[in-house]
Amino acid sequence: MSVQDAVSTVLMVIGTAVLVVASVGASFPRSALVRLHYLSMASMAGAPLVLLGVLVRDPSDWFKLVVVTVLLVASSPMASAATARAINRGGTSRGETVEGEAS
Amino acid sequence: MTFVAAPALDATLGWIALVLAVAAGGPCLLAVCRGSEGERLVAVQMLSVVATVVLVVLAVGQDRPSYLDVPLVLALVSLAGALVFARFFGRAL
Repeated sequence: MSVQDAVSTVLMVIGTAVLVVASVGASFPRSALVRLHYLSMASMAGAPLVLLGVLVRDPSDWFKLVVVTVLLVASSPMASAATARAINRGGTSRGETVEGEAS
Repeated sequence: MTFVAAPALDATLGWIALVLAVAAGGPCLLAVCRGSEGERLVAVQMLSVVATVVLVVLAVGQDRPSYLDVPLVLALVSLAGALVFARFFGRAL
């Protein structure tokens, strides 16, 4: 195994672990706003690490990989902000309240 | 009729894709099926991130560079979908 393959494998394994932890974390907490933190963790750390590992392993298609990574990283804050605003504006259907705000 | 054999999948990338699809995609699918609307929306967004990464890993693992267009479009469309869903959920909740 070359150094390139080793670095690629380490990056992808770490990124996969982050994605799995974030996915489990985003599936079980009670509040939707808490789950949004795990979504940010996945799209800002997990996915870029896996894509960086893929890029190290096969740099021939670097442009598309970089575009996908930039799209994921750049779109995450916008999507999270819009989702949090929607949740905050409408409240929740099961009576949960936003911490720090009077219900 | 001639059949063209699919190229062999790289072992490491295949395992990464399998672990991601099962261990990261499974809980997201469960979360999509239960919970409030906001929780389901977050789960859908997480599922789109996982699906994008899995598609990239599979495309590179099979040495099919043209398949990278699929996760590229998915990353674009998932942003638009998240914004549209958030807008409608904000009205409906």
